[in-house]
Amino acid sequence: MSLPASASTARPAWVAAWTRFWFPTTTAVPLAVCRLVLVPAWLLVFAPPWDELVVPLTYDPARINQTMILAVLRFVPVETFHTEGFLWGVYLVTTAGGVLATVGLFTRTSLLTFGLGHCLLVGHVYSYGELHHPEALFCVALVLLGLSPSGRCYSIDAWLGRRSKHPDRWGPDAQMDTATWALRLVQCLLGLAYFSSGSAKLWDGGLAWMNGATMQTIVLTDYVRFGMPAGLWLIQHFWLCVAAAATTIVVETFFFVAVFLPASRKYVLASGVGMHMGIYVTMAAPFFTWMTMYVVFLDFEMLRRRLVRPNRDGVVHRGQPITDPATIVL
Amino acid sequence: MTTPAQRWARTVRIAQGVGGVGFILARLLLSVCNIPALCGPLAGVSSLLAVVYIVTYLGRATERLTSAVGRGATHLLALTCVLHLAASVLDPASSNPSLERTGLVYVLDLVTWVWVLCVGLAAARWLWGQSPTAAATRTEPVAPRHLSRSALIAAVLALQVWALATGAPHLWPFMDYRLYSASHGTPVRAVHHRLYGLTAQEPITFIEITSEALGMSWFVYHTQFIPQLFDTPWLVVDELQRKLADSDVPPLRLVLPERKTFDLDGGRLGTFGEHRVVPVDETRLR
Repeated sequence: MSLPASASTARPAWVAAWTRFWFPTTTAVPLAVCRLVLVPAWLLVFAPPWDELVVPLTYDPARINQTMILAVLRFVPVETFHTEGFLWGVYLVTTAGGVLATVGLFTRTSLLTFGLGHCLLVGHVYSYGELHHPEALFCVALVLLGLSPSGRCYSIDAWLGRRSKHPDRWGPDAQMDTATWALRLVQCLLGLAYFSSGSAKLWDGGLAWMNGATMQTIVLTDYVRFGMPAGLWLIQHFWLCVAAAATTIVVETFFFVAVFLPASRKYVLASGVGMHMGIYVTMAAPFFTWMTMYVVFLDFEMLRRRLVRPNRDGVVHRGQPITDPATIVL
Repeated sequence: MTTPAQRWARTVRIAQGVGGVGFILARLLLSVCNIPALCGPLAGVSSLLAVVYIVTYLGRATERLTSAVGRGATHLLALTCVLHLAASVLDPASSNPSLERTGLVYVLDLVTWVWVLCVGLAAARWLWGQSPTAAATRTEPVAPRHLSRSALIAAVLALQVWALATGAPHLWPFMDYRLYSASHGTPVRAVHHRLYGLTAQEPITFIEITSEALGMSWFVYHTQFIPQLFDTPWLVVDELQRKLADSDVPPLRLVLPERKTFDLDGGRLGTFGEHRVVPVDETRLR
């Protein structure tokens, strides 16, 4: 379903750049690996437990303020929505979607159900004035994966597809131009979120954010809540606090570089992991969801090409060199 | 063996690079400066570097920079330097953080941020180079399926940018990330609230009442509910009694909200606790 070649050659440079950035021709291997990492991670580790999801049922539903939940309430009466039975139903359907998405059966539908279901459940928890940051981008990432062909390989759908009329559209060697945009979009959202955080510190706090006292106050506030010993140690070293503040701003403000420069990723992602682990051991702020999302930056296609390649008979063997020059950049 | 002319050209090129990059960094620091002792020197340094860049630009020593960032960018950077100089002469708000930013200074600040992003990306390219696989990326011509996905991409990015720009807290899962963005000075101090209760029946003892016991979010409990109970107990005592009645907490005679202040002084952490006594009468609720 492509436009004529003449149309493509006449397209403006920015359209060509846009297409090259979002729609390169690749395999679905990175997308499928991200599905295999992110869905079980959310299902088993990060998803709020049922006990937390029903806490808001003790609140007055008139306080609901999230636009998404209010939109749902146009179709579902609040008397129905604000009940344990309804939320339990959503929770069950969502969890079932997660299990199906992990094994890759009806992948798009199940993954969309899983992502949207958790957007709804977590969004409901955050509809009464309390708002935390670690889950939002992960939920968006799950929905975006559901909108992309993440079940084209390493899934039951792919196994069935290889036995259908179009076996060439399935499996790790199938080429397509719609396998990258979702991962790129998650990368961009992460870059935007980090930039927002870093630039806000400079806009709101100014240079004084790096005065050491700011970091000491922030860490002390969380130390008295959570009692992390590393936090107490950090606040007693003034110049370390100054260095930590400056490093935080630099890492957050320039994290976006990893989106555009694949060569920088191992350094930028390592800095990000270091920063989040530092925040965790000193302040107990768990941003493991974001660190897990770094998987969208990893070039699994390159890794696969290093390990396997098709033989003359079309069978894939491990450890053989690559002949196909087509490659991808995440 | 380099000739004096070559040495001079090299010196001018270095001056131009230092002037351009240095101006952007100094202007960035000036745009976020809220330490009065630093703002004056930063204004002077950024103006000096702007002059250096403009002089080298007028001397047509920009060939190397042009090859690195493009001809248009060198012109725009020169224009930014001129605007900065004009603002620093005409507008006292450009170097005085205590004055409210005017339109010109605001625009200059935004332009500076754009330059910082460009310089950051260019520096990363210089440091790590472009991925060799990028050139091998194949793309197909524009297809109708690209249009729908492009619209979706634009919509998602627009929602996220809108949430970031406006700080709207109601656009879940799109939200801003201004975490811990306020600055603090000395003394370094933190306050933590906890809630204790004195049991009504034998053995009479003090127990801590946790957020889990009352079925409340930890965050709301410690940052809103107990502070309210401490400062304005008459506003929330009924809610507390209802929650106590619905919980497994044993009957209480009274509750004691505690406010503990932690003070970091010379590397030593001192604490100061305050309590308030709030009588409760759960019997009418049980």
